[in-house]
Amino acid sequence: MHPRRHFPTLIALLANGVLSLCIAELNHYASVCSIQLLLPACFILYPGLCLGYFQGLVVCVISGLMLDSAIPAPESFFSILLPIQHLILHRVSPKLHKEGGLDSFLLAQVLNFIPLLYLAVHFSRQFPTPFLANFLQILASQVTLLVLAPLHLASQVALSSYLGIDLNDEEARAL
Amino acid sequence: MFLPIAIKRSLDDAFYEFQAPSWEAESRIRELQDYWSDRTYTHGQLIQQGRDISRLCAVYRLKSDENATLREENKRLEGLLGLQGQPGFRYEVARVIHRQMGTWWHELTVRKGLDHDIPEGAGVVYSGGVVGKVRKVYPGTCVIRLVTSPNFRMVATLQGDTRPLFIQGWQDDKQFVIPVGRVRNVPISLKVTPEDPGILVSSRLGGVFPSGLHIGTVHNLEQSANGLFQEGAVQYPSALYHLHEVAILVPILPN
Repeated sequence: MHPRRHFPTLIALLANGVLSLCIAELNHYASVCSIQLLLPACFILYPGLCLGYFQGLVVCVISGLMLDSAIPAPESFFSILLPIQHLILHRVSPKLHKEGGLDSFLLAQVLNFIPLLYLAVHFSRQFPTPFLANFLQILASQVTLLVLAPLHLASQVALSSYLGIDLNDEEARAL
Repeated sequence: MFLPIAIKRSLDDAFYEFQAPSWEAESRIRELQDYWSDRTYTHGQLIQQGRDISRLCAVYRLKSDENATLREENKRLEGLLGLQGQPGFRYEVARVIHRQMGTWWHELTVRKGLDHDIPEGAGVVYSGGVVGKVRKVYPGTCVIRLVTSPNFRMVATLQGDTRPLFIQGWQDDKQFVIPVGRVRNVPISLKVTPEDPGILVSSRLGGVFPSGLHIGTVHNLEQSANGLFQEGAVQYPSALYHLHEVAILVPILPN
């Protein structure tokens, strides 16, 4: 077993950890406007597009557990959501640009919007939440995703190429 | 969803503990930034601020002596009447390291936890009044649910009245920057107007907060759906969304 084979997984985990920290910092400052940014789709782009299914799944499960422990969302929400989103992205990844493109980012927008909509419906059944507050929260998250997702994916792809990892190597992706 | 609760709880705690140092590091970096920005003050400004603080200290010293006298008097009267003493609290001051305030939850993470004997459910206050309650405690940190959080409920009274009301967090679609809530179960006989707003203060009922801590103001009350009570919007101090330091009320157990 060559340790180099695990570099893409480690890159994805490290990048997701840094991303989680950056989003926490953004949320700290956005809290004065009562807005919390939630970007689950950002965590699955690189694992879904560039890694093999099991490598990506490991990254998504660990990232999901990390988000669940930090964000007061419903029980195990992100631990279940990220593997499902990863599965969807992995199934359509042969038709998408591996290093990011309009198609990938549009899919990320859709994948991010659906769970936020679910959360809005879920919480509006527990207590009244005004439509405008929900709308602004989702809009802020989607706009931030539009900015952060290309940067996040590009940084991981750049780090992979710097370490000499061939993302198009099908044999490596299958492992 | 499919894991046993014990494993899920352990994983949750482990991942939280793994991330907590990074949030603490972020908060320390923020403090360092504040430190360097404070260094830009001139000597004149610092002397002026020092003078203001020494005046405030003198006033608070007098208030503290007055409070000590009143406490002694209170204790003497309780002894005379054979009343049970009110529970005391120890104030544990903690720095805020992380804020999460959105439409669905309002929470703070502070830099003190089990190491400082913070219990779950303890009240949290700041210089402007009530902040919330401790939701979860970890070894070095604890998570506080804010009074503005939609899941938050607490007993309160209007200043000058003893009848209990209850307040809950709320999200207003017109005001995002100003924290708001709802007050319910207000007796019909109580009247508040925008010119003479009601001031909500904490109640000793529930044993989490001492009486008389400021919570917020009510400018209008309307009849509730059942017609028996009134309810209205509560406006909390806007400082709740900018807190840097809070005090956790740790109950002092007898003996």
